[in-house]
Amino acid sequence: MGKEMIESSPARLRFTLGFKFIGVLILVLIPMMLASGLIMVNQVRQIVTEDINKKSKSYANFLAKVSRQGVKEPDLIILKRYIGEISLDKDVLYILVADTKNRPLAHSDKKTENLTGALEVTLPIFYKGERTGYIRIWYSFSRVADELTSGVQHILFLLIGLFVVMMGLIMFVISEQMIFNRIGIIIKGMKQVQRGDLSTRIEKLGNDELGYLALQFNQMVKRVEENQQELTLLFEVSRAMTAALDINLIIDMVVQLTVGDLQASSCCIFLVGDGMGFNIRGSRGLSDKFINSNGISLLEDLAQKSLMYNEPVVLDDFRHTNPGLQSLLKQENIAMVINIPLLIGDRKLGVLNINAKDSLTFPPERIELLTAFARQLAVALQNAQLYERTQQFSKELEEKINIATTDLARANERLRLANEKLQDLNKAKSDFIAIVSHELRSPLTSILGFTDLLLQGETGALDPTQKDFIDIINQNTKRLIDLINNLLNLSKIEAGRVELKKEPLDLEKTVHGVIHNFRTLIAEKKLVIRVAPSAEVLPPIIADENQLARVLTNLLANAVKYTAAGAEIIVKLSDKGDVVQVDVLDGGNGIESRDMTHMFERFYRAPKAKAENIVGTGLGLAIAKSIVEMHGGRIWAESPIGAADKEFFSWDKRGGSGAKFSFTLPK
Amino acid sequence: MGKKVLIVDDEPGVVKMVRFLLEKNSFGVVSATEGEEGVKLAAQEKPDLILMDIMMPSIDGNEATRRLKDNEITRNIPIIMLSALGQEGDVAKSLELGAIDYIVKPFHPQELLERVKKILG
Ligand SMILES: Nc1ncnc2c1ncn2[C@@H]1O[C@H](COP(=O)(O)OP(=O)(O)O)[C@@H](O)[C@H]1O
Ligand SMILES: [Mg+2]
Repeated sequence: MGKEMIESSPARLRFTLGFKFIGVLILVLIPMMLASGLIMVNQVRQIVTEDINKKSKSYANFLAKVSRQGVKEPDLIILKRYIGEISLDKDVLYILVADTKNRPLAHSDKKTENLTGALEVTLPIFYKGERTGYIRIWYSFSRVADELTSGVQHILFLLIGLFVVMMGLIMFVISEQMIFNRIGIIIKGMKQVQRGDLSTRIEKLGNDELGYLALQFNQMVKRVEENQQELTLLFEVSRAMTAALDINLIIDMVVQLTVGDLQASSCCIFLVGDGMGFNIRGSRGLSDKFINSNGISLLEDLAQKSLMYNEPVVLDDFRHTNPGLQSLLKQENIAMVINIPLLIGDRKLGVLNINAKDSLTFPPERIELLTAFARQLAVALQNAQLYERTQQFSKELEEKINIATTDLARANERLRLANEKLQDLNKAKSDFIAIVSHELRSPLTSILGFTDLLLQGETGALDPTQKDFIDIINQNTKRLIDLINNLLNLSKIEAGRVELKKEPLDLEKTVHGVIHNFRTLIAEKKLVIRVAPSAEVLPPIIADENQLARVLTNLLANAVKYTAAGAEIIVKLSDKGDVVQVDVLDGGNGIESRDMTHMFERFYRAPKAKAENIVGTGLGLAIAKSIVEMHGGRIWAESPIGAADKEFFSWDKRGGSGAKFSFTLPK
Repeated sequence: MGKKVLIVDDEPGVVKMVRFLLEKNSFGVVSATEGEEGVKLAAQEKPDLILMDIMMPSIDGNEATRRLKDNEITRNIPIIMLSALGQEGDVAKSLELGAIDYIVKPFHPQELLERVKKILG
């Protein structure tokens, strides 16, 4: 496609157009010329004929005048005389005058016998409007021929002229073709360049102006191409540089570029270090001799100075620098020192130093290019520095994490071992508790049984002190038994050895069953227990009946224990949508708010309970909580002591402050 | 004469206490302090009720119960377990073997008496 377009170049187009033009010119001009030739011959003939006619007419008039009444009644002598005069006209060969009846009246002397080929003109002679006769004149044809010849000659000249003009035109067109052709070549070249093909060159086009133009064109394109190559190189290095995150790699690229590709003789990169001075980070092209003579530190001084400016500092005249440097530079053959500061905003990263053997190597536009490049270099260096720092940082972090991780792993391992041990211990503990509680139960059976029997007076009446002491033994035995039972329960629950046997059950029935177990205690204390059944029909709940009974037992045991004699205890059941709620309300002393949070903890007993000498182990609520939570329920307590809302205790007619223990069970 | 109750328990204190309680309430009491002896005595004495401890040397209360239930002569004697093992599993196991009731130690003598009376009418 592209190729075809190059071929239909303007030169070729003009060329074919030129030929067409010439063809059309020939086709149109030649018939035109022929036609105009014919027209002209005809015109000459007309002119001649008219001329003769006019002449004849004037002769006729003349004769009419001079012969008085014309030739009606002619004075023949005079007529003859005038005829003679007319015939003096050298064109006139012979004149004959006749009357109306065509009888000859007079005639001239015949100049020639043979009148054939002569032009014969007959005209009437009028006198006062009346035709009086005729004049017949024979003209020599030579004049007509002469006239004609001269006309044809004119035409010929015209044709030749035209032909010459045409040839000229053709010649012009052809030469034009050639110019077009050559301009076309240049245009083609320009187009190619325009399309970005900078390798385009125009072949030699001769030594004229066009040839010179082509030469200039080639030189221009060559420079553009060189610039372009340099630019591409700079761009590529810039890109590679910005992508590289290793400072040394970047510096390698830069010295390779400047010394290898941009014809610098040597190059250094000075970077501002952590302290005040420079770090030389890379150099190339400097001789050992120069380096050994401390040349670099002299260059460094120059660089340091250039850092004060924010633009490149170019030195190609060293007369004012220190003589040591002067001689060293001369020795090193350096004619130009360029120092370009590497800047990121106001931050000075360092200096790019480029040296050349010839001060023409880096004209201003190249220095400009280098400056742009230096900006990229600064960015790349900054990136690399940042990267270096983050690398360092992440390395440190990694080390720290490693340490932390190993620490953590060790801690985890310790924890795992501890956990295993704990589990073993837990099992051992509950095994131990099971065994111990069994071993405790047998002797306790005797103690409880005998003290019961003694107290019941089965062995005879006891005196008050005996009764009191045995009662104490009996009470403490019960306490011990409670403790053992609760410990056993809790340890089983905590060891995860309790498996719930969940089944649908009638909560109300369970509640009544538990209350039934308290009948003796209740009777002893003269308490009233009332079950306030739900307003709605309670749905059956799914729970482990034995465990649920244990929860109720523990709550009721507390209610009975902590309520003064004669008060009322209410168990309330209600359907709360997703859950069924059980409230146990008592008429006791209530719970201080500071005890509220601890009550469900193992072995926690409110100071008041201890002070009042109410027997307990502090395990009942902990067990109840464990069981309720195993069922997916919630347990909590409320007490009006310190609480603003005493509303829910309004049921207590005896005015005891009381406590309310509530738990829920999912349906 | 009242009904006869056999008590099998390795704890002499318990045996003594139960004996006192029952005799006071006009029951005849025989006792054994270990399982095998208890099984033998049951066949001999044909008591109206047996109170059986579980954790005992030689054969335990459950094994003794099984043997008693295997024997034509003793099969129909009601057995109440009296045990310090109070877990559900323990109770269920004994009831399965044919025990009629299960009382967890320690117990109030009054409670035992009530249960015994309930069975022996
Ligand atoms: N109904 C109640 N009224 C007042 N205080 C109570 C009530 N129930 C429990 N408490 C307090 O909570 C503590 C923990 O109860 P619990 O775990 O059952 O142990 P215990 O009853 O054996 O002391 C009790 O010691 C008591 O101080
Ligand atoms: Mg309690």
